[in-house]
Amino acid sequence: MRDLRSAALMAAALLACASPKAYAHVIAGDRVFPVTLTIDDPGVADEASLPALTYQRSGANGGTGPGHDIDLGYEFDKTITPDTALIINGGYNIQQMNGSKTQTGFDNIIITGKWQAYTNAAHEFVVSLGVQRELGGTATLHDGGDKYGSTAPTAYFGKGFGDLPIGMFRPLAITGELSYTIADKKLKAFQVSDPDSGLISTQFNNGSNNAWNGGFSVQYSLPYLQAQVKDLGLPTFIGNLIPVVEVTWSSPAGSPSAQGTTWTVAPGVIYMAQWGEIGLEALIPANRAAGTNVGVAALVHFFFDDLYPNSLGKPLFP
Amino acid sequence: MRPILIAAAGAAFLLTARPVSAHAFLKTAAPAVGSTVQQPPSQIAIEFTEGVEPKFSTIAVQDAAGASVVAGPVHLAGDDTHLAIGLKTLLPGTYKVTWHATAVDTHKTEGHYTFTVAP
Repeated sequence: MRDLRSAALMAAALLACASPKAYAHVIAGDRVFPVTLTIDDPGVADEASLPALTYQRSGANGGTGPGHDIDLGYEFDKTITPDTALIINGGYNIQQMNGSKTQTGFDNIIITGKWQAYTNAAHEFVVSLGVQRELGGTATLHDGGDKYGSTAPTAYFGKGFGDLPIGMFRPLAITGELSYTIADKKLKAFQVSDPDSGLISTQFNNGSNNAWNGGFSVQYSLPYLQAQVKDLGLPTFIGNLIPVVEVTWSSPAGSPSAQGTTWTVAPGVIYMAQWGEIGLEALIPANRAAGTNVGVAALVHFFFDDLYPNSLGKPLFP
Repeated sequence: MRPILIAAAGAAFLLTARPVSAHAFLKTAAPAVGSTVQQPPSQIAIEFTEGVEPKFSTIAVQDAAGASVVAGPVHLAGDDTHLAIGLKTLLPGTYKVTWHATAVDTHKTEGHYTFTVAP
């Protein structure tokens, strides 16, 4: 019993020492890392996205059209300690195919545990580690929701370039995310022979491939430019904008594979307010497997640390 | 229908919320961020986006050699969104301003910028 108590006290002391100087936003030194639309931000905070909307014409993922796919997503981030958080993601999907009945239903819920492991204020650098758990069977199955889930260890980083000697480059920042998704049920292929024609075709079970997923963003912060580099006297609305380009990819980690590597480029802009953000991006397929139709993503995001600093906006264990 | 109504009510609640208080970021500064002034200023004045606690906020001003050129403590200049600090007589050159602000809601922010006194 004494050993357990000593170990617990030591763990608590180490955790206290290891906890970075944490801000409720994802802030490293002079840099505020905004929430981007297709990859997660590099740190932990009390915040929520409602909604996170994506719209794509059918064929954007290599399928056939015409039709429309709309996803109304949400995300809720809650800090447990100043450098750890639990995140819940979900959404409601609407698939409209010409000539067919509209399919609707909820996506599988995803729970993420995230730890902001390292923050360097002087160099505007943040690294976080996390695990995403997709809860299979929580989706509405009648629209094809996945019965099986997955687990994805994930790494995140953010780097602001405020330490560059060239003034106009200092508002630049990059963020990134890399994960390896481990499917609960592996995708398997099997040969089926048609009893009448004798033709053999390949069919798949209802599993999924393991996959590498990742992305990065390149941002140019006009608020940073105005406050840290040079006040250009920009109108308030313009001065709160952050132009951004995100690139995401997904690649199967083994065979058989129902789909190849897909790349998407998402240029857009984020408006930073005191209460939160509004973001808007185009979703542009960057290779054949990603389809041919341009989609759109939009986001309304709330900073709970500023809206509700004494309740939702502070860690459960400060 | 009910889940949609709940979601709509939640969205309306969030969209109509206003910050009780928030992180204090630099809104304007005098001399302005990155500016060149013809006359050496007698003080640095910073307006923040939120109220700040002067006892827990600092403004440091250094010359190119890293020497401090402030004269006196940081103080409120008007309401609690304005901080100022006096300066010694400045010679021509580039000066670095470093500020640390604690907002009234205890959130901490910081920033750096430079300004130049023309010869």
